[in-house]
Amino acid sequence: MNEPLSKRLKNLAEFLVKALVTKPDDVLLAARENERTILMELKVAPEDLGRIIGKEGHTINAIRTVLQAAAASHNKKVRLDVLG
Amino acid sequence: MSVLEIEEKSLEEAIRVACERLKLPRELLEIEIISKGSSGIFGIVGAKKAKIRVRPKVPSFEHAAERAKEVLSYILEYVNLPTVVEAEARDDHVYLNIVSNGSGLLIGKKGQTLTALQYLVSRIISKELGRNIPVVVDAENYRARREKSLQDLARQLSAKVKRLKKPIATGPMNAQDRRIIHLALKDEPAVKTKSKGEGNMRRVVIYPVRAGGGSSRNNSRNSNR
Repeated sequence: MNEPLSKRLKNLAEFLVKALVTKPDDVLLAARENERTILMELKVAPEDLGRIIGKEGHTINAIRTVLQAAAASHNKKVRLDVLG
Repeated sequence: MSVLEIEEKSLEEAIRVACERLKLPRELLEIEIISKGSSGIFGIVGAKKAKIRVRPKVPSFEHAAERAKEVLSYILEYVNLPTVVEAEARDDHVYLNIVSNGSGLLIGKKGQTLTALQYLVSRIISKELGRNIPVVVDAENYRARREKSLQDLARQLSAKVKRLKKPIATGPMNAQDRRIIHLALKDEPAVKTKSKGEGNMRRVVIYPVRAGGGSSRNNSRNSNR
């Protein structure tokens, strides 16, 4: 519980992403934190890209919304980018 | 992920591997034995591997509700709010209610945080259980309040449509909200409803029904949600 927030949010993102992909071992997540924002970058196996983005970005936006709520409860903002 | 074939030295071992790979206890697996396997003579000559075919059993909604509750509770551990999740297996979906301190944080703008949680929990447990499990996530009675205000909106719009004798569209709405509008006006003979538009821009259009002329068309009123 004393881990930095960026680490904790990264764990949450990792849990959500890994639960949705077919190749959880290929999930790569990097997180950086500055005073107001946590920046995350996500890479998944090419065949999981569609699965994680979803129709019209539905899935990735749901993940972002949940991360934002978690970050907001700590008075922070979060950004999640998917690297293609 | 629905069907899996596993070959191992013994039946026991194969079943253990199946449980591990599907992350399910043995009771939730449907196991079909293809070959029992035998250790042969001295464990070398004529040794045959055991082979099974497994699939997740059609899971009970009670089990799905339990898992859904665990997944949602896990996600909420990352939110800095005191929360308790209540789960209920309903006829056609799993209902989860988040009891919290009354802040709207978990509801979000127009319920978008609840919708995102609900979508992700449903996707995660559907994948895990190998079957589509609809999930509804609620907090602070938001869904019921939202339903009430959408029904009020539907009634106001239908009154306006009748007065102006012109069709009126709602704002863009998700499927759940559109359904509430359609149902609210289902028994209103003077108007009919239809969903129009694509994807995120889909909305409900309420049309006036001309007196005497609309009876045959009324039958297909709710076909296009």
